[in-house]
Amino acid sequence: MSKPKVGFYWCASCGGCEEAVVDLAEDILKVAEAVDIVFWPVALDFKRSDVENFKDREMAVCFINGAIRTSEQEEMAELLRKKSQLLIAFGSCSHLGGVPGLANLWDRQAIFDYVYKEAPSVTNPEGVVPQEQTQLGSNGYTLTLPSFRDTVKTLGQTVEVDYYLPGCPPPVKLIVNAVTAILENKLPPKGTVLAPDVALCDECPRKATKPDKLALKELKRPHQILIDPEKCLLAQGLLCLGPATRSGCGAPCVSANMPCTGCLGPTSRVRDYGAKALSAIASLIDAEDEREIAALMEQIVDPVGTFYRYSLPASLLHRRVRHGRTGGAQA
Amino acid sequence: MSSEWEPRIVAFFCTWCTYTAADLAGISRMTYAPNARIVRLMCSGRMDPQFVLKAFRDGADGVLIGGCHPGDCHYQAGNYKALRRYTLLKRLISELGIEPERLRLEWISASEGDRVQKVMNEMAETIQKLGPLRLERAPRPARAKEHEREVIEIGSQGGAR
Amino acid sequence: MLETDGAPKIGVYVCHCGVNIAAKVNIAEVVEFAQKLPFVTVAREYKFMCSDPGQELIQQDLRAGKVNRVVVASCSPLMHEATFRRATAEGGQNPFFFQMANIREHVSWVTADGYHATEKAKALIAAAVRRVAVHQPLEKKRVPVHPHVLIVGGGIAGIEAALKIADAGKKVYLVERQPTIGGHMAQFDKCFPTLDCAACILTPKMTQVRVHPNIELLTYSEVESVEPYDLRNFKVRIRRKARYVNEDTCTGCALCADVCPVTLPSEFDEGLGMRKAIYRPFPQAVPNVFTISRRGTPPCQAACSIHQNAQGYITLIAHGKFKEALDVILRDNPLPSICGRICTHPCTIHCTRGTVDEPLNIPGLKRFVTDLFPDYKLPQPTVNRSEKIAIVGSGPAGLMCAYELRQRGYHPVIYEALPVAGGMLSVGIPAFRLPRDVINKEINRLKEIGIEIKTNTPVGKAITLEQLRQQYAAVFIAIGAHVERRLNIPGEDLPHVWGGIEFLRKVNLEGPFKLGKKVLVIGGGNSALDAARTALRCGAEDVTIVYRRTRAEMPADPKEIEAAEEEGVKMVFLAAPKMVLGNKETGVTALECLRMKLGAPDASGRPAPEPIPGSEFVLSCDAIIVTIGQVPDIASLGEKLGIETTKWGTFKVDDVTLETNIPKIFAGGDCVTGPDVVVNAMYAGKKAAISIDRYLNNFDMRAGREREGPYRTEYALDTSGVPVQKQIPMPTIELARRRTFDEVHTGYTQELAIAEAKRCLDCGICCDCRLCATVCEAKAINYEMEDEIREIVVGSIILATGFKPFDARRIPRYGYGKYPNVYTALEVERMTNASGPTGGEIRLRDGRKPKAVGIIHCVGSRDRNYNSYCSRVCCLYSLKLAHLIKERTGAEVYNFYIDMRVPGKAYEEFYDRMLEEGIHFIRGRVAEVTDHAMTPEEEGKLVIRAEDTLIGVIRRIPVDMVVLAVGLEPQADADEVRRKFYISCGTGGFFLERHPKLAPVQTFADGIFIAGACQGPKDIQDTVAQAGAAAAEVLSLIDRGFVELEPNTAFIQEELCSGCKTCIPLCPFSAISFNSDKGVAVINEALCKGCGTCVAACPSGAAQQHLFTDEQIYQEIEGVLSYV
Repeated sequence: MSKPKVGFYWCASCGGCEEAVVDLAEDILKVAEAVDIVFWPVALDFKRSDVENFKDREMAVCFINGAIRTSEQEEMAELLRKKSQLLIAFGSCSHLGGVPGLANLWDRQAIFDYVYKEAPSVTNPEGVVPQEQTQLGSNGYTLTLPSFRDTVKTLGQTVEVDYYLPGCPPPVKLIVNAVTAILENKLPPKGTVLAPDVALCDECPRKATKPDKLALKELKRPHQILIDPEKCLLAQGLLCLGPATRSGCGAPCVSANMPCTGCLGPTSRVRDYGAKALSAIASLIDAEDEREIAALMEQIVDPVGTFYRYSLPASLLHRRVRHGRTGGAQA
Repeated sequence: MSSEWEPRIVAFFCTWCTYTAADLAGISRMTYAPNARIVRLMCSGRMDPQFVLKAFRDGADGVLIGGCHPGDCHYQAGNYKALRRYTLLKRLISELGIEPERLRLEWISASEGDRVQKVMNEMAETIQKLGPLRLERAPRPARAKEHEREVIEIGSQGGAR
Repeated sequence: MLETDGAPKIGVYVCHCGVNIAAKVNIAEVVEFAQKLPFVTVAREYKFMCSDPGQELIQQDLRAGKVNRVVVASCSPLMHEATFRRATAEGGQNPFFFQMANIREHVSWVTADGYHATEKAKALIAAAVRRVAVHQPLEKKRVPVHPHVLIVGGGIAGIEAALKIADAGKKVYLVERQPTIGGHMAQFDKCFPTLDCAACILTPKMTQVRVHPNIELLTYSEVESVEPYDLRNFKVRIRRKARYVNEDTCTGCALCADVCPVTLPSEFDEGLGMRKAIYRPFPQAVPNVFTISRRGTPPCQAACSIHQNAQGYITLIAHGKFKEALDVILRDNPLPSICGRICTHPCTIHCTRGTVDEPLNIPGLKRFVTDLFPDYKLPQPTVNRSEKIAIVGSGPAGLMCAYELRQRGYHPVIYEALPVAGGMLSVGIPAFRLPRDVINKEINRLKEIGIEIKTNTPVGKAITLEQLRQQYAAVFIAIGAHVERRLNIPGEDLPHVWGGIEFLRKVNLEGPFKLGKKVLVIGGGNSALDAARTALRCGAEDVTIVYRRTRAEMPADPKEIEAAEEEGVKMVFLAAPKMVLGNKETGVTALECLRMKLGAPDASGRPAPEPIPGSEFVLSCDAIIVTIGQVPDIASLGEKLGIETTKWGTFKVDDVTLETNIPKIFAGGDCVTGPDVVVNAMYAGKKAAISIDRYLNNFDMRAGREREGPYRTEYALDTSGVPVQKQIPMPTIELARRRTFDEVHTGYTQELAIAEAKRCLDCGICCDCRLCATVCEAKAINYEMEDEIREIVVGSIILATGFKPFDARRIPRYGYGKYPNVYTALEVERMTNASGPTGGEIRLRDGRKPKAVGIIHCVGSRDRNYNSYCSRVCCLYSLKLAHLIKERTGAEVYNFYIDMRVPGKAYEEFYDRMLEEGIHFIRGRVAEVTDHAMTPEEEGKLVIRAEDTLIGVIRRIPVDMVVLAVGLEPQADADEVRRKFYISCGTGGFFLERHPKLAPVQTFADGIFIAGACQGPKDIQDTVAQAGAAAAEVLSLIDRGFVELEPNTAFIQEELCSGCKTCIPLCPFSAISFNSDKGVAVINEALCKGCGTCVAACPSGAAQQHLFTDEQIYQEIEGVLSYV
């Protein structure tokens, strides 16, 4: 029998996810053994037309990393959905919107203005900005660029996704588990996030050092203190989001004195990662007076960036509210 | 039903003080703006910031949280926890473009029926001034109306348990 | 239970509640709407869902299997949730497959128009439907109810409830703040409408309470704290305030009160009568025991280094009990006649009287007593011990130490270098301030009780310190400070330059001698004045004090400065000696000084004098006395066995114990502190005695010695309204005789002393004279008694804390507190009472019978400026008082009322009767009460100005007496109390009941009930009824033995918990703990009260709350918003 066909594709992403695949090291050979990679623009020379020529559901699995930012990415997502049996969102960006998703604090106009005009590093006296349509000289050719959307979406907000491999990038262990599960056809119910459904503290090397009754007297940032390599980071006043974040990564950041920033996203029971993490942290603030509380909270420099670093598009609010615009979509 | 827009407010009230006060307002026949829909919690400490965002997401133009006065909490300190979360949440939503006035926390004791009336009216007025909160619906791949799907699943589970 | 698998089948039942809902909400439309909601199989409407047929509707549908979940849209769940859950259960379904939509309190009653009401109702129903769809079956938890009951407040409500519960065989703790139970009712004479005697019906019940085997009566006690003992019962801490009288042994014979010298206004008689400091509010008090009112140590006594009980002997002097006064004095002071003369009396500095006009002359009064009994004796020691203790120095420190040791049975031996005992007292202080015979008598008294004094026996020469240490059990060094400080200026060694002490010693030991015509005294302290005044008495013609600062900075006692000036002593200020001029042959001729100016404050806080360069000037003289302080003569002791000293040449000792670094050797007084006042030296002596006693008994040398020495009292007295009456000056001999050594002050006469003593304000209330103990045969009095904390566990609590009358002063225009004959109703109640302050006579302050009396209704009630509510009892008690006043005095009585409110059985009849009795009724709120007469017949009367709204004219009614029918207010600390008991206050500040009609004695806190006026103004009838109701509630609880708790507790799904511990600190009831084996948090269901705070915070959603799961709340949110 022929080996199952597999595809990889990237949308709005940094390439780190591909690195993760490479991090499989020699295991990647096993994978190559077991499967037949039919589409992987980053590594091998395939064209969109090749995919278009596939039969529907011809690919067994397709992994897509990166958020959905442009029309092209939407088209590719739909195309690949059509051509594959299993569509797997690979990495934080396609899972929750990821860091690119923080762009939802602005819109297309604001982003273009900054990136092409206002950024200190830009010299663009004519104020040239990308055009979707460009006439090439007189020979009647028109060059078309994909259109840049106002809002970043997750893959799941674009097409129906079968499974999610969380993480920025997904931990090798989780990738291996996922691949084996697929090959051995031992997959959980559709829509599952392929990672443990318990928060990170569960596997945190510092777990034992967390006090039973923690009260946050001040919130610090890693560069502000000498970090005790043994002690729970929250107990040291560092905003570690491990309690709100899925485990499965083995807590490499925490082991390296870096508080967890939440790339694996919330557990299945939580609908809004940021709100829940905020609730937990705020509850532990050691103040009862209004002014004191506010003062302590001020030490959280950038709430959105802190609590929604990887999940703004997947959050309940999805993006920053734009005013003076009609046509909100109500239930 | 009337054509022009009216504010939609979800009010999360603690059983012991604010919800009781709302009952008192009723018993005392104090009429007030009809915009708020009261959801009863045991304590303002049960207030999960997710509920607020959920309400905004589902079409609320304003959210009101009601608890016992500081020092009066039936559970000793739940209202302080509510205050802590509220303080940070207010900052968060305003950074996400929601006018902070759309979220309001009020301490109302069981005897302050008149205060319920006052706050409800003020809130309705504030939101009326601000106009509707227009969230953009997060795009979803086409499928059956979501909440119904959930209700079916969960509903049947609920029954089975 | 019926099967409920598959999709939920929801029945929606919409209640009309008569017209309460139906009139606003379009029921038909709502039902039709509900019909279309997901999973709704049945939607019905009914007039009254809470009625039996209404509930039957639900049960039928359940039994028929048409529905398996129920939504009732009617009133508030706080009202009927229980009802419908029961119905659901009786229909065969789990009671928690039920949800209520509150479309009455939150919709029909508060929404202006039908359209919005209907829309809102729909939204709430949609929410309930979605919510109930995700409900889960739950079991109610049963918790045992502890059978013991706490009742707070011993008024008629508390008494009634206590008796009812106790009669049913249950244990009751009755806690009352006052020394007796009885409350306000005990103050009344008659009760309306029957006019039966309050005491006659109350006192038997009070007695029953006392004798009842099941009632533990805790009077003069207050609830300190109430904490959850378990899920349902309470742990209560009760403070039993110290009575200073043993409740069990006191027989109530009242002998103590007869001898008690302290009188104060009686609270029970509303200040119209007086009571003693040891008292019983009224003769039938229960328990029938006495209580001593103590406010704490008086400021004077606290300020005194040896805590001389000044208020004690002053009070006794005021009552002519001079002998007793002497005993009180001798309790703490073996040298009173000395202290009475020369003590610098720090007591007077803190005397509260000083804040009014001038402090009392406390030492003067002490001296008066000692002068009155010149031959008094010191108490003989009652114990005897073998140890001998050596004391070096016979100054006040040495003498005091010796006395204290002797009283403890030891044998002190005092070594004195000088030929006379007394130290500075004898050689440093001139006779005209402290006559020699006074000192000698004191010394002899000490000798009489067995204290040995060896004069002319300098330690270091006659005997060595080492010898003392070997021969005696302990040694106390108190050699004082006798070495003069020197000026260190040129010419200081010329003849006729004296040291102050040197000079005074010479005069004191050898008698006066001629030292010169023109004498300069350098220094500004008391010894400078003593030297100056002594110099005058030695025949000097011109004595001038030279001081480097100004009069304001002089450390000397201002009185002494005046006296000196009277006698002709001159003063030169801001001058510092630069050099002494003169020659070896003739001695000094003059003193060259520098002018000074005052600069920045120095260490002592006084401005430091700075020399003005080139300002030299010369004062001619033929003798100079230098009094700029002294230092101890440590050298005189010879070898000091290595006792550590300071750089100021004083001994170094432990501040608390006065131990030196050498075992067995203690030191104190001026030789440790440097020159200081007599009373502080005595303090050192006493302190050393205590230490030595502990040392010899191997007791802890430090424990419990915090309150030794001077301190400030915590409390401040309200002295408003105390009439000014300045200190009575003590008589002195005429100036002419002030050239002799006769004592200047001759002391108070009896009359003066009594008058001066009467100025005392009784700061501590009880003056601790201890006369009561002398007459108490039962030996029940214990001045050392302290507050006790009692801890009990109870299952139910009834609050019956009553009310406080409105303070009439808050309405100045009615003149209460301004016009003596304006009374409050309660005051008149006391007057009408046969056992009251006037023996039942109704009299004006001047004793006249009133001819016309006006009673003003609604004082502080039905008035937006004060309390808008009606106090309910005033109309009737006003009628009662009107009747009693008319009956007892025959006066014309006018009632000024707004409306007569006399509902209740036989009340109207009572009102009619009063009308027939010819009592006048004038309808209209009183504008003011004034003494401003406009016609001759108004002269000398109080005029009540009011509009008679029935005839529409303003009337002025002249009366002799005005009675203010003050309303009822919540107790001043009601808010604090309700917090303690986890309940709330309603409008007006009275405790809030669970439901105004259906749960009038329940509160929102399970197991805590309220009865009587603490819930709202009510008369005795209603109070007793409520007390009965509360008792019934409690009894039914106890008899059932358990309560079912709302199963809304939180729980943690172990397998999903990461063990992040976020929830643990958030639980106010410490119900969450960490299971380190499993590495997860665990909730102890028995402690969880179900607030859900932990659930809201659980960052991974592993914690959930029954009845309030995230999902259920999400559904409700979506529900209210899904339809608008």
